[in-house]
Amino acid sequence: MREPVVERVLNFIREPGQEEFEPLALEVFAFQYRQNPAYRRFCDGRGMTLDTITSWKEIPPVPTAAFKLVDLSCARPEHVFVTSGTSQGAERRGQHGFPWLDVYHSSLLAGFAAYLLPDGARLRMLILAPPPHLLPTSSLSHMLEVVRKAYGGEGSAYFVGETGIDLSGLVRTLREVEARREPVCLLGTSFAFVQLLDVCLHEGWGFRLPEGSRLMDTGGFKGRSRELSRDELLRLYGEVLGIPETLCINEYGMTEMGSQFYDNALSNWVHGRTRARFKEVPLWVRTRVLDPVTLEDLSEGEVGLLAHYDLANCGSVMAIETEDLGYRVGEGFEVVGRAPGAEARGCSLTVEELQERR
Amino acid sequence: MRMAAYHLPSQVSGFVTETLSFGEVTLEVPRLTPALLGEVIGHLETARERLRKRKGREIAGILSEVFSRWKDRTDPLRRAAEMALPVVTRFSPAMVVHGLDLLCQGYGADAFDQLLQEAGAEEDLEGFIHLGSHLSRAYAPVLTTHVLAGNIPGVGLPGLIAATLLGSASLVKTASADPLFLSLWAASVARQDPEIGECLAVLWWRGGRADLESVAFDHAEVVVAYGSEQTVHELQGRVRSRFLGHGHRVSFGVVGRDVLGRAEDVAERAAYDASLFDQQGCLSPHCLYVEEGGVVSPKEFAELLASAMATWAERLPPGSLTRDEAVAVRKFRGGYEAQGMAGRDIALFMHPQALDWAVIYDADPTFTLSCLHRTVLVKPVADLSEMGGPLRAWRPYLQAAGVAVTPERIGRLAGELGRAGVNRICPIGRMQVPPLTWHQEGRFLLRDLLRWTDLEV
Repeated sequence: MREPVVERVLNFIREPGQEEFEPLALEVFAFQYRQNPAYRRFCDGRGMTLDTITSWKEIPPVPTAAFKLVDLSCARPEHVFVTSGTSQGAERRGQHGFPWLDVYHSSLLAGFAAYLLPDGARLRMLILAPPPHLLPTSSLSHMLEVVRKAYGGEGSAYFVGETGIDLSGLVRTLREVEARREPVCLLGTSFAFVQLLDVCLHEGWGFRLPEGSRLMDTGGFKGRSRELSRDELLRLYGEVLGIPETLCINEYGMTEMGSQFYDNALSNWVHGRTRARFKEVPLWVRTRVLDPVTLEDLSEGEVGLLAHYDLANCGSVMAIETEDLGYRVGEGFEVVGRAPGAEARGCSLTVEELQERR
Repeated sequence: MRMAAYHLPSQVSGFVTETLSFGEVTLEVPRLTPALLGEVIGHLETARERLRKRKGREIAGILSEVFSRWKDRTDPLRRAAEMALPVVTRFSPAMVVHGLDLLCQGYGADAFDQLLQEAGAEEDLEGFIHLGSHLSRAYAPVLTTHVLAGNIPGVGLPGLIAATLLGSASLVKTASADPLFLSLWAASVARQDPEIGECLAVLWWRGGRADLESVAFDHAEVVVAYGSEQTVHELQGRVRSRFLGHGHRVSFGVVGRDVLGRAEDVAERAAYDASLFDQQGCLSPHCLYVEEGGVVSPKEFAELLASAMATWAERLPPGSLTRDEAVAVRKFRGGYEAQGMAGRDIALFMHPQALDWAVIYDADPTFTLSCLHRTVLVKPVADLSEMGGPLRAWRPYLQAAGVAVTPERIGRLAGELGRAGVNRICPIGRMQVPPLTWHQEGRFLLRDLLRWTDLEV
């Protein structure tokens, strides 16, 4: 028997109308404060205890760095995911254990369905990421496999193997589905897409993928491809693959979180809404954009640190302070990227200068 | 507010200016070309012929008068500095006022006397003198070029003063983080003594302009350069004359167990050292080593230091942080919070929301750089005789150690620190006010500028 609060979170994710976010968030916090000694130490260090916290915004968010140093699970994990590292190189990797994968799966499926398949489409999935048996600690591979099993049409397949991305196989498949007028869903890392685009541009290949085809990319370039701006990527997805902007969805997720964020472009279109493209926040998540100096909420458009309060993280820590910068747009947000290191002002040696040298 | 951020010999005219924007302050600087810079250098070299004939002691008198006028807060140049520097350097107004006061205190008549006495350079410049088995004569550089960096008012002044005392003209390339202060200072020198003013040019250009820098370097007999190790190294490769580089450096504090009976007082002084200039200086302590076995444990000392940091944050408020700086500070402090979560012996004392200051107690004695902006690490050391260990890897970067120990122990500790590579040992609370005679980078200030000719007869 697991704690009732976990069942309540699960129900909330499955049928969000049933409960309010705040009281449930406070209960999850209380549960985590009790069950998670490391998190309790963190809260106590900040002078925050069960008695002092009365609103979800007061729940202290843990810096993502903590995932690199300490096990934050509230119970024995069913599965532990490990971060992939960044372009900054050989740093210690973060670990996130999930005691209850059903909560994670409910959240990831609900998010994916709402923003990639709002029209109820069931498409053949062409996946530009390694399958989970090759990278069992990757939360992205795990997520894509769960999505494939739930919503993937016949012929869904992975195009990244032990030797890297199988571009010729992918191009062949794209030719086939183009000829058969079979819409597909391309899913994968941004750098894998750039590798595909670059080959096509180099060879002069182009596709007009059948109507209804769509694409989800995610993550940074991690030094594994050239870096393209969002606008440039969207333009090339249109030119090279024939997928219109509205159907190109960027996902923002992290190993440290059970929930993900997606561009709302496709769901806007399907639901006949005219509003800006931004990352929409699921009902069981709250995202704040914080002034890095004061930790106060910033107003719309101002760039600050992203902090997420994710009920799907009920098995570890719900409140997370990321190192990502973003800004609020409408009811959602947009990601700008990692903050660059600060430059020296004076004449003292700085951490940044030392790192650059090493 | 718009003001000129340059100083030129009076005969240079007819140049075009451009502007540098710092929020509500706009600084005007000449739009430099190699030809214009060459013309400036020509005037400096001519003017220097008159300065060369004057005695160092007399020039010292003039310069100490210059600083005594800087003490007057109603003086127009001082007022300009107080108005504009907080915007340009991003130090708080109170910090700018305090920093200017410190400069005036540090450059009194005594300071110049001591410098000239130590160097003994005056006689050497006047003719060949007996030095060992032969005759020797020292020559001051005709032109010294100074490349400055950083936002701390007065960095680079010792070199500029030394060159001037020796009768060398100076071409100063100001730092992008503060193109203003030294141009105001040069104006104050020119006001006091126009002839010396003719031997100073203070200019800004974007670092890396090879066309300008080759002119500035090729005409100089000595180039003094401040900056990151990479910048200094890169500049050195382009200088054929004598090069005196000042890379970024680190400083730290040491507190002996025998002074912990007055731990509050020591903490107060250490907090002052770490708060001054928001810890951006090469003399700002990154961490404090506190000896175990005193009446106050290192962790308790960290708590006392925290409360002193809070007091200093009120007296001398911190400057504003950019977004990226704030993120870097948060990331650094967050990293220690995470280590504390992992059960390591870490204690954080900091303002819960604002980033004004933080003290991090870390039981690991490894020397660690701080993220600065008033973030001090406190580390235990079992015995002061063990201080050499944690410093070993940092030898090339060590600058000052502020110490608080009883007089009986200072000799041994100083020997230990000197061997480790520290070039200045001073009482805690005095770290940011080095005397003019300080052997920065372990070198002589005046003598390093001189060139010697030996005559064997």
